[in-house]
Amino acid sequence: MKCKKAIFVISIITICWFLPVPTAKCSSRRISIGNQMPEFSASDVFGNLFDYKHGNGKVLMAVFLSSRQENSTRAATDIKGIITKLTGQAKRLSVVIAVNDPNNQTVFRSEPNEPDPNEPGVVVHLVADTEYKLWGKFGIIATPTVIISDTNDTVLWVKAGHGYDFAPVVHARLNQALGIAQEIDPNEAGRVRTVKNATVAARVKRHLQMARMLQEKGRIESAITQMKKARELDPNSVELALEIGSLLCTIGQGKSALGILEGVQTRGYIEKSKLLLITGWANRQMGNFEESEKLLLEAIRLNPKSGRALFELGQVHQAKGEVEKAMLTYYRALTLVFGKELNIK
Amino acid sequence: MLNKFGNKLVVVLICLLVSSGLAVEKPTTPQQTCVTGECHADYGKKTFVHAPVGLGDCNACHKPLKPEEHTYEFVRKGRDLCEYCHLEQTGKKVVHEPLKTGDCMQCHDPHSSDNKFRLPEKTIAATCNKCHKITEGFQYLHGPTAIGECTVCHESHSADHKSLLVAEHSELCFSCHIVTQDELSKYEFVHEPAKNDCIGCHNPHGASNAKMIKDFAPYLCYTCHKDIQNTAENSMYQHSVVSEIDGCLTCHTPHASSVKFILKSEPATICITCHDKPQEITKDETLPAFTDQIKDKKFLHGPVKDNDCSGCHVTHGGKYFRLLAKEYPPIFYAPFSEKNYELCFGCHPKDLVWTPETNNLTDFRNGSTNLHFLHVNKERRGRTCRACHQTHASDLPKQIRESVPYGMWELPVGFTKTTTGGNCISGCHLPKDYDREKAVDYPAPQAANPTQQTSGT
Repeated sequence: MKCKKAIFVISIITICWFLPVPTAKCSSRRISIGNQMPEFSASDVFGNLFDYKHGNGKVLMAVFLSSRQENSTRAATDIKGIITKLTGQAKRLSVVIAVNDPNNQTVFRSEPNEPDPNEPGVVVHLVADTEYKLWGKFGIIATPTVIISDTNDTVLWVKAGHGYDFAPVVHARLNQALGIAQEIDPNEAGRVRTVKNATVAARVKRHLQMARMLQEKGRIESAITQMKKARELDPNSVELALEIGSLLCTIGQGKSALGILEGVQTRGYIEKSKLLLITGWANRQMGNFEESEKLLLEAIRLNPKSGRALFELGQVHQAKGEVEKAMLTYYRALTLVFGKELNIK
Repeated sequence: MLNKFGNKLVVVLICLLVSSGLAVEKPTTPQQTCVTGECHADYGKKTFVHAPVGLGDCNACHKPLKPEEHTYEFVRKGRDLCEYCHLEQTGKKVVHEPLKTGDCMQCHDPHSSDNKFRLPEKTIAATCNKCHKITEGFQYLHGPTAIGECTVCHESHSADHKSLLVAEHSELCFSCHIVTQDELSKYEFVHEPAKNDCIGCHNPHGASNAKMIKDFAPYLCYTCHKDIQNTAENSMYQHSVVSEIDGCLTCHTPHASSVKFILKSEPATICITCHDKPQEITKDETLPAFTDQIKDKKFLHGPVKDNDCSGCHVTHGGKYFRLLAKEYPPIFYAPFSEKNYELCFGCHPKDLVWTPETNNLTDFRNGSTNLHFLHVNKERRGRTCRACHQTHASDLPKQIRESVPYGMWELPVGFTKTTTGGNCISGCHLPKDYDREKAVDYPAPQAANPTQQTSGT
């Protein structure tokens, strides 16, 4: 008995040995991207004929679902959510949902909605494919399967199964087919992106925000500490250097402010005027009135709406004993704050 | 003896006389102010002085009780004393406990101090810490806590929000974590606590871990996800990673993701962080490396191609072997039962194995004879799906197995696909062809139970 079995097996192996090696080259039953969408006609569950012919300039989304599958139910829910948002594009999209057991369907039953004449929704044709005719025509092997054509009747995308990326990918491909602008590259729609709140930029921003809150509460020293932590993370930030300089001047540490601002390269006239203001402010605190005046005048020239620069210039004039000039400068500063309502006598 | 005692008594009496002569006598009538160079002088000399003290207006808070005995009482009782001037500090919904009881002096010196706000300690945090010892045992402190600036998040007197917070929980957190807020707004799938309850997971003061998580995953996650805990701990087949410390974070990201279940990456990418190498399940069984099974293969099963292992497997635990989502017998032959194919029927139609004749349902047919039905629908020695198909990948179309086990041997299947059909050259049976357009003539197949040949559910 054992001998017979062995002979049988050896014969089989021998036959195999001499037969040609099978190759994987073969045509696929499944419809592929770039193929032409097959034309078809089918009646929906309400008895209306849906006729898909080439050249109608519309996007077709053919969805194959099974009413007995959980994944199909989930896919139907996702699709419903996506096409509900496409009201403005409704006329350019045909949706066909083919179900092999329409008597058992629940989620994707077409409810005849009250049409909104201003915002007509996408019409969904629910087709009973009990004999798997459309299934065979499209070469479907699993449900859910979604096939989307472009407006030239070419298959743009085929997706089988309901995976983690079903909703974002269907949405992106439908947008692509309809020519709706979107931030995400449709080829990247299935790529998983996550919040990365531990970047250096995020940490810098956290320290900066906390510094500003502390500054509002009058906790200037603590605010400076936070700003310095932020600057350690981003040593090239001009914004941080200017904010630290300004805070140091607020607590009378002009010399330290000048140290922080040494070598800072500003871009644009707003940044430049801020730098001039802070260095002028610091110089005023250090008693360098001439230098301070020069810097502040330049700051005001670049940004005539800088109330702080005018106020500092007033301080310089006052320190130099130029009372009239000081008064006039303070007045200009106050006018910037209070507008024309200012009425000083 | 008496002399010695007498001497001591004289010394004491002299001292008393001298000291009484130097001491300023307490006034026995009401005075204009109490802060003078001679009386209560220290009150006005410290850095931060209470305004009435600075103005010498002691009557703002005190009134004589018995001036002749230099005793005084407060002008108002309890919290009214301070509220009379500082009303704006107590007007909100939640009031700090000392303020409720009028015990403002627990945190403020009523006269003067060298500390800002006339606090009893040098910093706000040191003052708060007298009652709120919230950082004990913490290795990592939240930014504001670390620098002792409790008032970044809390009001010190009263607030409209619970725990005297300056704003609602997440709104408060986002005032500094502005980048996180901005990022979250761009994601469709956001973890519920990340929307409005950061402190659901994070300790706002500090923790023994750098992320200041209240507990490690999975224990923290289980506080909400009880169902997952039940699955992970009580399933017949468990996924070891789920129960590991921080195991949840192997697959999930805590804040938000562009895909469902807030996955941190594509499922297959996550799975191969472990399954790129053999995994020992028991002492006697090792799971081969998944990556070896698909390496260089020409045909991948749909979910594998889509990087979606969850198409067939559950992740937290389950009742089917290999953590499969539904029944899929590990055996080669099995009497026909629809239940045996539940997993496959999750995507493929049941009618495949119930329909003897079809022209549309499948390409695996000889003319209109459904060869799936023929192979599977047998009462004895019905083939399970794995008898012909590799589940992950194969070099043959339709993931057809390259060989079938036969005792100790592996017999090659030699499946070839043609434009209208295909053939198997050996393995289970002698070479057989099939052709959809021009059916190969074979004796008609016999079904296991002809009464079941209709589409069943």
